Amino acid sequence: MSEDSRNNFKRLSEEDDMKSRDDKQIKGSISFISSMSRVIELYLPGFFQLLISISGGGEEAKKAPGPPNSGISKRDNEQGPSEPPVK
Amino acid sequence: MLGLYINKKSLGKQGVNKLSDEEVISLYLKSRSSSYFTMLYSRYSGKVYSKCISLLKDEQLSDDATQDIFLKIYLNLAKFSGKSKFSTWVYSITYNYCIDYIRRKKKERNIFSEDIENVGEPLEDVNDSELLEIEVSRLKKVLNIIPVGDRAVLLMKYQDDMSIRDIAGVLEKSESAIKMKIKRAKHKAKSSYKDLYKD
Repeated sequence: MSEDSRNNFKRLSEEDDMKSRDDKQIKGSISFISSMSRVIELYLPGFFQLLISISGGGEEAKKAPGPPNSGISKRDNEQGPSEPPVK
Repeated sequence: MLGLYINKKSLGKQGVNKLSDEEVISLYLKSRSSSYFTMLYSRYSGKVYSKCISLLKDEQLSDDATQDIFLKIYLNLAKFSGKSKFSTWVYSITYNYCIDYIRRKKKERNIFSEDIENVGEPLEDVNDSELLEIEVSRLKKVLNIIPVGDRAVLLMKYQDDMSIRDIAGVLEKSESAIKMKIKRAKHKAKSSYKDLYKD
């Protein structure tokens, strides 16, 4: 058995060295994921907006007429549908 | 902060990793190519960081200390004479930095002198093997509870294989004082081990 193999001070140093490398890798990965999530957060709404525009939605859809009952106000509808219109 | 990033392309694939530290330094001083310094950084940054952690006990502080120590190495590399091993030189700078920091910030100016002056009662000799064979996780705990000065001399002697002369140079003490300091540090480590693990 060599001198080094019985020297646990050296083993401790190797373990600490490996641990610090692992820590750096983990920190690097976390920082990458965090940057990517920021990029996604920034550009995702724009991307969906683009998809909506491509599929024909968006501003033009707002300008288009709504469904038949959508224009009826509460006031117009106060008498209820059961009363016939006065001639 | 130094921009120390590994440029593998510039290092090439011709077994540069097998070069000795001294050869890498020589190539660096000739070419001034940062990739050679990066190589030294990747070889020693982990070790320097772990020494800083064991002495300073603070991750952020140790990160900053590692950067500062490599900045010192970078600025003084041309002054490296090659009389001692490069690793010894790097560790000397590391211990100096950490000890200076502890002296400055914690105001423990006498972390290395209290035992040297205190001759007191004679201590029993502790065999090297008794310390070297302590199980790694237990050794870590023992080193964590002994005073920082004792921890530093034990690490210098048994982890970094520094000679008594080199340790005396780092701590600016006489060689006989360092021998006494190591003897006392070994004794403290052994008694701390006994206290922790009475079984």
